[in-house]
Amino acid sequence: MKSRWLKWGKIILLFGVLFALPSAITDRYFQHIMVLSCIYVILASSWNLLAGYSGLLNLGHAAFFGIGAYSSALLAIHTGLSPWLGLLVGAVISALFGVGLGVPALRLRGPYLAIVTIGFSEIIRLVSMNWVDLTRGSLGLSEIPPLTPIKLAQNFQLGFVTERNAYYVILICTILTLFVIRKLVKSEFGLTLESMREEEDGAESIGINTSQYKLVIFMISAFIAGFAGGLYAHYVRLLSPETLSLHETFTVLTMVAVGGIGTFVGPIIGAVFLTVLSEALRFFEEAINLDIRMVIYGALLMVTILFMRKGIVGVYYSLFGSHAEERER
Amino acid sequence: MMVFQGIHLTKMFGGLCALNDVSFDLKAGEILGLIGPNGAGKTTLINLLSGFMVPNRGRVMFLDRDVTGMKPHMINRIGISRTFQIMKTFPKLTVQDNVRSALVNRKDRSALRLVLDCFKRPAKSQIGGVADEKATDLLELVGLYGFRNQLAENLPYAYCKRLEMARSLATKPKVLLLDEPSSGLNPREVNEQIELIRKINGQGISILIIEHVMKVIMNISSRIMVLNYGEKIADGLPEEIYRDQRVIDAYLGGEASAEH
Amino acid sequence: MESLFLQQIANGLIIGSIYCLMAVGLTMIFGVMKISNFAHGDFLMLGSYFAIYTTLCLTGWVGWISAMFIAAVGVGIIGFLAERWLFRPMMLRNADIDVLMLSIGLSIFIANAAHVLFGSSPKMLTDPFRSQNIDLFFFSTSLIRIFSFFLSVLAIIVLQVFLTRTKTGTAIRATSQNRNASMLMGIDTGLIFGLTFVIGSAFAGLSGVLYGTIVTITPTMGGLPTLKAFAITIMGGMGSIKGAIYGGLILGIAEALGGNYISMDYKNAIGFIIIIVILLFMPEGLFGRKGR
Repeated sequence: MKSRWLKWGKIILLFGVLFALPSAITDRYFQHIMVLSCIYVILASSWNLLAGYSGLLNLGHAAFFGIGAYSSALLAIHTGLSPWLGLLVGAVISALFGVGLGVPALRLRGPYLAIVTIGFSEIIRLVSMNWVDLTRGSLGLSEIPPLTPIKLAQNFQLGFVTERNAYYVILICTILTLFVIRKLVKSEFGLTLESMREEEDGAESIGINTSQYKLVIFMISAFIAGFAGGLYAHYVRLLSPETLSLHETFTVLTMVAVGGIGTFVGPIIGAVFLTVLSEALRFFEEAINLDIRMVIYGALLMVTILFMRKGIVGVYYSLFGSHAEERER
Repeated sequence: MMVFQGIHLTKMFGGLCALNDVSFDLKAGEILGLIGPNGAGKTTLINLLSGFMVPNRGRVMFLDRDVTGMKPHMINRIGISRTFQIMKTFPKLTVQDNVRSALVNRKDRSALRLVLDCFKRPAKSQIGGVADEKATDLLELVGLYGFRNQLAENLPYAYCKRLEMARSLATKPKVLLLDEPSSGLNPREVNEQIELIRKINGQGISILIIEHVMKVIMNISSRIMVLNYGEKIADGLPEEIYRDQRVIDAYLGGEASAEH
Repeated sequence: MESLFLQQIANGLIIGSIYCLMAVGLTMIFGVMKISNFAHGDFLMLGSYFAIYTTLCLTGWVGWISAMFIAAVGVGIIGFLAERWLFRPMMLRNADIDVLMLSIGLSIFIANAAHVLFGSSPKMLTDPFRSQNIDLFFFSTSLIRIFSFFLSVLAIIVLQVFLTRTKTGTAIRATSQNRNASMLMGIDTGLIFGLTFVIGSAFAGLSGVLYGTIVTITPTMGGLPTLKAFAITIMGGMGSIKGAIYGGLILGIAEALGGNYISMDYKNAIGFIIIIVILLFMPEGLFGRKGR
């Protein structure tokens, strides 16, 4: 009973800190980093659902992000659809593509699946570069409408153009998303996904319809990634085919691996850590006049896989005992 | 009463005929032993019976229902469970979760239902409720309750085999297909395995068991079927099979009986 | 126009031969070690850069032959180090996902380290024929491309002879078919792994020299070859050299025809579309998993 109060106390404290942050850190650049971190937390967590919990190595995840972003942006620009709705529509469109990609996943494993997902992502990227009428090609989209302001009182409305206000909205979205994901993975559904990851034949032999689960989790993961894309589109308000590149996918992959693949908090830690690190390295790069940011990413990924298989979370567990790990479910 | 039947089952891999016109039946409550030299097609037969492979010809009948070609998970849901020769427990899940995983999510639900069910309060959903009780019972049956929080990959080999059995029992099968449950076990463990299989059979579960360890087969089978090069060469009571010349020849001078 | 069609076929075969060279190394490594090396294209890129710097110091034919040699050996050494330090520890772990992610990390590392070391401005590799063209019966092409074609063919033939006629080569084939049995027969699989990876990497480096005469050379050029090499090995069945040869030629021709008759913009997508279609019907590739 007492531990329950303790748990809620910690959570409330954490929320308090998170919401108070923009008042403490008023530099707009830092606030921007906070917003980006939140978006990447959502994106990384969605990828982790596929690779970490279900064992499906999807190297085309950037496509889901991009599809959600472009859909929402284009709808807002061409049809005047409210970005709030656009977020959801973009996510749904992305989810449909998710099911589409899930179909080949039913029969393919390991490197075969990885290559098909890359193929999917690259085809989508090529389309976004070459279908100039729709996407303006490499020029990309600009002047994407931001999230429409909420009218609070007679003359007062809450806009979301500033980093600070965007942060509040996106933070709430992040918390909601994480809540949903947590419910998913801590339930029977999560247990079934993990059993599928561990031994697919074993899971089939105990009555689990692995095909259905693969399609469902692809759909959910794509939905969340598309949602993150929409948030990104209406915050940064610029889009280019670069968001659909393998580079993005690899960034997300590195975040999850470094944080701790297959764990709940791993993607969160990884996303925040690497977003901050990335920006910090930018200053370092200018100082020494060398582009070493991605070199460090690559090295970090290799070191993690070789020595810290469960990422930062794994290191924490090995230092503070595996009691915490057992209580994961 | 016929519980499980294989009728003229044939399986080809390219030009190779792994099973040729094999028929058998399993009566309620009996233990049917399946023996034969390596490569005889025993595991292929189990794969056909459990839906992991589809026969080129022939049918599989379960309680007067044609289940030929059904997907593995459907076959399991109607009451047929199996274990694997190369173990397929879930390594990075705990022993308890290995068994629990067989107690949940075995009904087809729409995707929406699947997601919404995650938000039910724990009292109503299976984990932590009824599932825990059943899991505990099964773990105690196989003697693994003390290890319930261990990761399956940390279990000794013999315990893993029992875990796979507990997991396959969790789905409340009427028929259990065991693929070499005693391989790699030392004599004491073999005895324990025999006891366990008898206990399971005592609960009314019909069993088809592949084995190389003659001690197990001779002790518990009501009948034995012998395969060689994909064909059934003998079928009868253990004492008959033991003396059957064709069986002895198939095993090249009866060296398998040396263990008895 | 018939002659244009044949011209495209010829182009396709020539490019295809370079693709074969690329893919053969990758499929060998997968066949023997079950490793999907995502950095394969980056090894190719290193080969191109080795060639550039060599031909800067030595001109003409001397430079060219040295370039090929140095590229193959240089990248082979890098492969040796990668295998010894990075991939060998992973072999014990038996986790496909881990190896893939590790090689992705290696790919990111190499590509960006090259960016730092060599700069990002595109470079061109001057060929010893000085861009002379030649007109054969029904098509025309540059001399360097003819040279590349025959060199690729020669290299693959040498490899096949090595694999089938020498003791070490047979050991490699044995290990790819059944690792445990090979160990029991006294084959030092550690040595075989190292050797296979070196050979595969050397082929990547060599293909980089030839590929570098066709495209501009940048630090990130390795990404596309990696994907194409994977597409080819999957088409042909991972681990099958024969499959890699067929796959490489098919891809080369498909790209040439597709690029010309359908669309230039989507030329690079052709490989992906082909493998997606093939894998939908044959999840093990054209020549299956145990092919050779």
